[in-house]
Amino acid sequence: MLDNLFSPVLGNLQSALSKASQRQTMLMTNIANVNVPGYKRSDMDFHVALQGATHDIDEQQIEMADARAQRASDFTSQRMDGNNVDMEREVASISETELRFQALTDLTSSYFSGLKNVIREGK
Amino acid sequence: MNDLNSALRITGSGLSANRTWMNVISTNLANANSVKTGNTMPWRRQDVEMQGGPEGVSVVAITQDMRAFPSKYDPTNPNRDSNDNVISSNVDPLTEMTNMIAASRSYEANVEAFNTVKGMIKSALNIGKV
Repeated sequence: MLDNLFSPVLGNLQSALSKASQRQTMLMTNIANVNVPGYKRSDMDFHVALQGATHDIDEQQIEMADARAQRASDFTSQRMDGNNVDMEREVASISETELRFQALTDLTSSYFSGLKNVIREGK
Repeated sequence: MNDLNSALRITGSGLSANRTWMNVISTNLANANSVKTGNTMPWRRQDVEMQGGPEGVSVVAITQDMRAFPSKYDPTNPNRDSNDNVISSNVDPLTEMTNMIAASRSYEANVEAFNTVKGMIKSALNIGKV
């Protein structure tokens, strides 16, 4: 019965949170390596990753989407030293991921408070 | 939370690499006007070599700039050589200044990224407070 209480909403929220923090780590790595010659930025396709978390799509599909995102960014060096970190793009993605993460934590919070409300019979 | 902690570690590595770079730039600027006195050579410009990857960034070596020291004709200088030339440091203040701006901007970017992750960890900790 407790299993019915906690799944699947909580599981989905959890995997979405972990995807968001994974992406944030990738973007942080890009920022840290902004001055390294030849460094290529890394990113993940958040949309497909989330689909994989909620629906049954296979690992291969996620990997392919990530590889696509990676390849797209491999050919966009605008600098002489071969580094393709684009500061504006990184900062925008970081803000986006931060807001997404905050929305997810808010949702998790309200899920728990709803649960508590039910347990207390609305009192 | 593991991922966010490694994000903090990575921005930390960016901070320390940029600070090392800044130290090297300051040393270059401080010694920019040094000249050859007796057998002591003027300051040779130094540069950092950064290497990075998915685990963060680090300064792997501080290299010496092997470009020749410029010499200037100055017959009244007490440090002149037999040809009345003064050998000076190969630091170019303009290059150092532009590098300094680059280093300080990327330091700031890393601080900003660090604060973002800190905010995310805080909001994750707030999940428990119903």
